Order: sequence, then C-alpha cells, then structure tokens
Amino acid sequence: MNLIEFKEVTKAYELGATKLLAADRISFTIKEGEFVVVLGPSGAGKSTVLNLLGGMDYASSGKIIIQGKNIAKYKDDELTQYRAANVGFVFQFYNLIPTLTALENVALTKEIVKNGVDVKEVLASVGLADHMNKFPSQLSGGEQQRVSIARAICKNPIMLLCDEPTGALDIETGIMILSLLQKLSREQKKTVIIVSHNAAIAQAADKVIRIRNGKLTEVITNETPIDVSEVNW
Amino acid sequence: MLFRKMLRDMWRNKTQFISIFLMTVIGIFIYSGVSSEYTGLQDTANDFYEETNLADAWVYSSGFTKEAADAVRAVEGVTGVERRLTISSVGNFDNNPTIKLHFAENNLISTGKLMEGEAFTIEKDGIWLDTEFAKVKKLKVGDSITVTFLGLTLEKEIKGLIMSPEYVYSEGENDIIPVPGTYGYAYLSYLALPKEIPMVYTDLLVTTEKPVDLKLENAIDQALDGKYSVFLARKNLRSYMQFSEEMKEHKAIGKIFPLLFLAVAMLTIVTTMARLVNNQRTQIGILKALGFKRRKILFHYISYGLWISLAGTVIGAVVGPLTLPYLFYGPMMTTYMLPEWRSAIPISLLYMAVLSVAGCTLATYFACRNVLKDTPSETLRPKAPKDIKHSFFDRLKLWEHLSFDIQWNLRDIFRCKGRSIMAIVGILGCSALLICAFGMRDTFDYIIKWNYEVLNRYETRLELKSDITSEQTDKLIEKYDGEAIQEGAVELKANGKKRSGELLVTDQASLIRFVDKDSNNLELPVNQISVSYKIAKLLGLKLGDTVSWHVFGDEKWNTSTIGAIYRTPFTQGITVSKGYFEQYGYHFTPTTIITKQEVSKDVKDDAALGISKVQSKSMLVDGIKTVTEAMNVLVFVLMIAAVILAVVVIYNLGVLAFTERQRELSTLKVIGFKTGKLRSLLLKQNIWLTLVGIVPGIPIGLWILNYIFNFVGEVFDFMIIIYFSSYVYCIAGTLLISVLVNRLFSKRVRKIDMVSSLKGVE
Repeated sequence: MNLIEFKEVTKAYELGATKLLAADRISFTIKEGEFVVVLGPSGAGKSTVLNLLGGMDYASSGKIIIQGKNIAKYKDDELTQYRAANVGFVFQFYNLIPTLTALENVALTKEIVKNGVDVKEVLASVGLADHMNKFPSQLSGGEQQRVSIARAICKNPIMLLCDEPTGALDIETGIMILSLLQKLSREQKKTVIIVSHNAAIAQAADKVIRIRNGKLTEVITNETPIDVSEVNW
Repeated sequence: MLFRKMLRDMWRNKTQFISIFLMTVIGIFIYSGVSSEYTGLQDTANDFYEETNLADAWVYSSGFTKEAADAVRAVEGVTGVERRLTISSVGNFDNNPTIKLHFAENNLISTGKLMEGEAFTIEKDGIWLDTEFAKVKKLKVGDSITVTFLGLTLEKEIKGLIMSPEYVYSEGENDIIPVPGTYGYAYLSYLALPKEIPMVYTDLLVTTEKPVDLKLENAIDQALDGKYSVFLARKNLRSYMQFSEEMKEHKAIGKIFPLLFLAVAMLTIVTTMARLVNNQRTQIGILKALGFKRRKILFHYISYGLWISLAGTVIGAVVGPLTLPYLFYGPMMTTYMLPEWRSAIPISLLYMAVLSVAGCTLATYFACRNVLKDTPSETLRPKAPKDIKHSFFDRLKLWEHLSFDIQWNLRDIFRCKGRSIMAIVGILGCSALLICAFGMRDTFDYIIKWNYEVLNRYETRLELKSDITSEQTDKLIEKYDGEAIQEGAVELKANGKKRSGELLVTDQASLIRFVDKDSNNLELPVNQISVSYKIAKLLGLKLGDTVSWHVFGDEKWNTSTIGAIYRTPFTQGITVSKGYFEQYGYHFTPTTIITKQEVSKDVKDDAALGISKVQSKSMLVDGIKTVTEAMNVLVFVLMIAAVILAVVVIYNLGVLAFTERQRELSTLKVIGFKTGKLRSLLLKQNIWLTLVGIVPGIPIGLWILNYIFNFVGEVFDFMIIIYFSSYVYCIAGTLLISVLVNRLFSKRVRKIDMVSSLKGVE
C-alpha cells in the first residue's frame, strides 16, 4: 500500500505579473519504510515538494494523499495537527533553538506529541548520550544535525523529511548522518525522504525521484540499494 | 521547555528586558506609592470626620438664640444642630500664641478626638487642648494653662489632649502657612465660661443628610431670616478644603507620571519584541514545522511581555506603598494634623496593574503577530530585505550635497522608525521630567522672592492686639516708621458662585506692591475694588465686572466694580484703599503694622503692649520653606526618575541599534573607516534624536507642571517660573546623559570582529 501519493500537484508563485511554477503537475508514490532520495539541481523545486509533503505550504492544485487522506485540502489547524503527528523534519542548517540544550531541544516535542519516544533513549541512539546538556553552540555541526534528527524521530513520526541534511557538513560527517538515516529506515521501518543535489546518494536509495524546473523527470525504483558507507562519493 | 527558552532569551537580551522591567516597576511604584499615600490619608481623614461628626455647615453671627437653632433644626435635610461660642484668646507663653476657645453646648457635632486623658463632656470642668500645640509647648494632661481673652484671665487644668476635625489644616491668624506653637485651639464646656461674660453662641454647627447645596443654604437662610454673617459649607471650610485640595494634587501627580513610564515600557516592549521575533524567524519556523499550533507560538512570545510586566508590576505595587507614602508623610506631618498616618491600597491600583500588564502584553502581541501569519515554509526562509524606498529627503536637491554621515544617519533613522520614535519619546520624557523638577524648584524659589521681595517689601510685621488704642498705634507707626494695614476675611459673590477670601485695607502703603498676572507692576485704583487673579478666575470675573462682598462678622453685602486684578501667591481676596473702605461705612482699624526696620521681640514699652506678635521676614520665609519640603521630595524623585528613564532608554537603544547595525558597521570598517569616525557617526544620530526629543519635551513638561499646579488649592496661586538657567541645565543634562551613555556602548565599535560579523548568518 502506498503511504504517500502525489497526484498532479502544482505549486505556483505569483511574482508580480509573472507566474512561477515551483512544482508543475508532479505525481509519484512512496511506500511505507522506503528510503527515498529527491534529486535535482538547486532551484528545481525539490524543497517545494518536501514542504508540500510536510504540510508546510499549500499546493495550488492537485492531491497529496497521505495514508488515504488528502492533505492538500487541509486548513491551517489540520495541517499543524498533521505535522505534529506524522512528520519529522531535518534541515540543512539544523535549526535548533539556540537557547535550549540538546536535551531540551528534543524534549520540546513532548509538548506536542503525547506518545513519543523517550528523549534520552533517542539521544543515545544517535550517539549523543554524553552531550545532552550542551547548548547547540557548544556542539559540532554533525552533532547538531544528530540532535536535529533525534528531535525529528522523538515524535515517532511516520516519515522523516530531510532537506539537504548533509549540505552544511564535511563529507565524513555527512556519510555518518546519511548512514544513521538509512539505518532508521531499515531497522525501524521509517519512511525517510531526503532532498539532495548530490547524485551519488542515489545508489543507496530504494527510490529516486528526479526533478528539474519544477517538473518530474523520472522515478527510479532501486531493487538493490547499497549501504551509504559503500557509496562511492 | 518554552518557558526555559523564554528565560534564556530574556537573559540574552537583558538590557532591553531589564529596562522594560524597570519602567514598569517605576511606573507602578509611583502610582501605587502615591495612590496608597493619598488613599490612606483620605480614608484616615474620612474616618476622622465621621468619628468626630464633623459639621456639614457652619453659620456664624453675633449670637444665635435657642429659637434660631430650633428653626434650623426644623429645616428639611438638617439632621443636627448645635450652638457653640468661639473666642480667640492669647495663651500665656513667650510668643503670645492665639488659642481659639470653643465653648460647646452639647458637644455632639465636630467633637474632638481624644488622644490622651479623659473624655470631654459638658459636665466636666477643665480644658481639652490641641494635641499638637501641647506637644510643642510640652504640656501634659494634668498641667494647667492660662489664657487671656476680653480682658479676662482664665486658668484651667488640662483634662485631655484632643484633635479637632476642623483643624486638620490650620494656621495662625495672619500666617500664610502653619507655624506650630503660634496658635492652637481648645474645647471647653459652656459652663466653664467665666460669669463676667454673658453667654452668646456665635457658631451654629449643622449636620445634614447630604452635602450642603444652594437649596439647603437658602432654606437655612430663610429659617434664620438672614440674621447671620457667614454661612460656610464643609467644602469651603479652610481645613477641609486645603486637605482635599492637597489630596487632589497628589492624585494628579500619581496619575500623570506613571503613564509616562508605562508608555515608555510599552514602546520598549514593541521594539524589543519586534526585533526578537525577527531574529527568531527561523526558530518560529522550526516550531511551526514541529507542529506547534500557531496559538501556542503566539502565546509563547506574548508571555515575554506578560511575565516581565507582571514581575515589574508586582514588585512596583509591593514596594511603592511600603516606601513612598512615608517619604511624603514626614514633611506633611508639619502641615496637617491627623490622628494617624496610614497608607491604604486603593482598588484603582488593581486597575492600574491590569492596565500595565494588559498594555504590555498587547504591545507584545502587536509586535509579534505579523511573523506568525506566514506559512512555515516562508518563515523558514530568511526574510526578504525591507524595501528601502527613497524618502522625501532623497528627492531634495540638497541631498546630494549632504555628507555621508548625514545621509547614512537620516536613512537609518527613517528605516528604523520604531527605534527612533522610542529614542525620541524616552528623551522627551526625560526632559519633561527635568523641566517639571526644575520648574517646581524654581516656582517655589520664586514664590518666596515674589512674595517677600516684589510684593511685600517689609522686614517686620507687628500684629496688633484687638484692644489696642489708636494712640498706641500711632506711636508704633512713628517709632518704627511703619505703615498700618487692616487685614480680615471677606466673602465674595458673583455669577452665582461664592468664595471666601482675605481682605486687605491699605492706607497708601508703600511697602506692599502689586503686579498683574504677567508680573508687571500695577497701581491699584484708590476708588475701586481690586480682586486677586485667582479669585477672579474662580468666580469668572473680568475687569469692570461687579462683585458682591461682605466682611466676615458683618451681615451687610456691598456691590463694587472691579478696578484692577492683581496676582499674589498666598492671600487670595480683595484689596481696597482706606478711603474706599470708609465710603462703605466701615471704620479703618489697623490690625498690623508693617515696617522696613527690624524689631526686637523683647521691646517692652507702653506702645509695645499693643503688639500681639512680631514676625520677621526670615521667620516667615523659613515657615514657607518647611512647607515646600514635601515638594522637594517630589522634585528629587522626579529627577532620579528622569535620569533612570534617559539612561535606560538610551542605553537599551544603543545596544539594540548597535547589534542591528553590526554588519553595516563592520562593512564600513572593512572599507577603511576608523573607529573614531564610526563612533562619531553613532554619536551624531544620538545627538539628533536627543535634540528632537528635547524640543517637544520642554513644552510637555510645562504642560504637566501646569496640570499639577492646577491642584495646589484655591488659596494659592503659583505662577510657573522656570529660570533660564534651569532650561540650560535641563537641555545640557539630557544631552550629557545621552552622550555619556552613547560613549558606553560605542566603545564596542573597536571590538567589532570584521571577519565573523561578515560571515553568513549561522
């Protein structure tokens, strides 16, 4: 069964007189537990797709069906509810609250979701057991991104949406983060969707969605994905 | 978690939040302090009035019969009537104090509150003396006191010490302000009156259901068939009036200053929160992405304003009533006589507290709501730079010729309007407060000069005994090269309004001068009546209008045309020449001799026997200075508040502006601007804004001053005077604070690290 179904989704921005199509009639499906990579050059509309998927923006037309429900019709409050219950975000610039410690940043999700995962356990699972009480500014980039991932999975969402999660990291740290995400997908059956402009990562994905100029160019299902650590960067 | 975030955010922006906190604390502190002061005193006074059954009206005549009293008692609305004899006596002390003796018939109305000794009843013999007077003269219960009146000497044992509700505020005859120990009062039973004196009841004390209005006054007038000289409603009783006027004045002060501080607090909140929310744009985005409801995020940011103003309000409301009232009570105790001095928390404090918290919270809401409107994906993107439109300056031909400094500063001021407005308002407040403080000081300083150098040019006043012979008077005039004047009380009536005032009859006195309302010298007409400016204003009188007047103790009303209006600070009333006075059938009987000479109090010759009191100018001036001490407290509080206001606002803004412009400043630094040049750039803007704030600050300060002096009371007329030097101090002081604080934060320019501050955001 499909977890996610995009049907002819369009997102248009009006810039004065000109109309910009950030997403132009895009359709695809994603199954539960898949490790998906959305590829495309910068400005192609990858982030738009991710934002629409995460309920962070409104589609201009089309259907976005998540677990059988069309979230494209959702109002603001329903979208918030949807985000709170189903989606975990990981951003390129981590976006942690600088005035909260690692532990507190993750514990923040407890205020939204009741049946989440234990905060300390999650932090330990991303390898941060020793750094829980540090503020973001006291952590390295990789560590901050791991806090961000911990925060995302702490809510126990059905999907993890990662927007260029390794964009601000060096290669080694980036590989480590991607491995972590792949592990989550394989071991905990989380649906992980990563937006990237680095084509190399495609070898590790179950499914690759390519986007260019707001249009879907191809969807490849990879029957034999390899481990992130084995990818030739 | 969000609460912790809030606390840490506040800590990071501590300058701003401390200033918001301080402003709310000061605002509420002043309000709660002053309001609990006057509420407490008003409550005390009201309880005192009620407990002692203060009369609602007094009627005076040369004697009321029992029938007259009964007739008044029968008037509808009258609940009680009592007769009393009041005689002025002289106490047997060095300074010949005047002691008013009240011989009561029943002692049911305007009874004295017993402070010490046994209760006063009609059956008991003895005297019940003014507590304050006894204190100054070190008299105790059981001592005896000797007084002289109408040629008789009366010695009585002090049975008790009392406080009368009619003497909350009182001053000796011909005194401008109370001088303790020079006057007093005492209650006695009518049975204590020596047999040599026939019993006549000069006062009629009346209590009524409702406050006395004109209708009731007319009804009483009819009941007495017009046979009385003065009718005094409670609101016109000197003691009652003076006290409630003073309370009104405090109320005015307690209302206007807190509003200024709360306004600044709100402005600071708006700018601080707008900036904070802007800087936390991505954080808001992440909260949204996490699935926090919009309402929850909004509450989170609103709670900044809520908690900080709540904390400030609570602290201000607690500290104010515990401290400020006692600052006022000290100096006030020398002027007012109340059985106790307590403060009370008024209900209005609750409203004010709610207003302050709600105001600050609302201000936060308006500052934050915009960012929350955007969708989460928009919020996560950095904000599009603000459109910088060409301001109208740019279009001016002049613009191109301006130096870079000026262009940069002008653009900066108009780009950050909120910040600039806050700076201007803060400076405006500071200079307005300083003007108020200096204005009060100067006005009081000038009043003394005005009264004793410009108007009254004598060195000494010799108060004459009422039984002095005209030979003695003439001798005194000759001996001291003095001038005789007659002083007394009058009642004035015009345009349906009635006011009591002072009467001055001069015999071409050269030692008393007059000025008009603008301080120009004025010669009073010899054959017309002259009215003081304040009373003319109260009665709505102009030059050439007619006014009815009558002398206290006399039933006859006279009508005159006003020939001059003169301005004087303390003695509101009328002035007439001896000749004019005598045209109306009165006899000129000097009550006072004024002289340029200094007179020793110890002179004991034949003529000196006619003197009841010798008052030197320095004594009178000292007396006024004690009264103005209460004002000095206020002046001091205002100055401190002004300085805190300016320092807090400017420092806060400096820090704010500095962090906002860090990138710009480091760009300039990279280009090659020297630190000194950048500092002067910042200083320039600071000085401009300061000057722009001072300009409206001065008239607003004057307006506040005017507002406050409106409440000084009907018998006072204070011309607002601010010396030129005070303007200079005020402007220079404000500028100095502004420049010093600027130096404090502009030091940081040197420390700007060009590399890191020009690197990307995060």
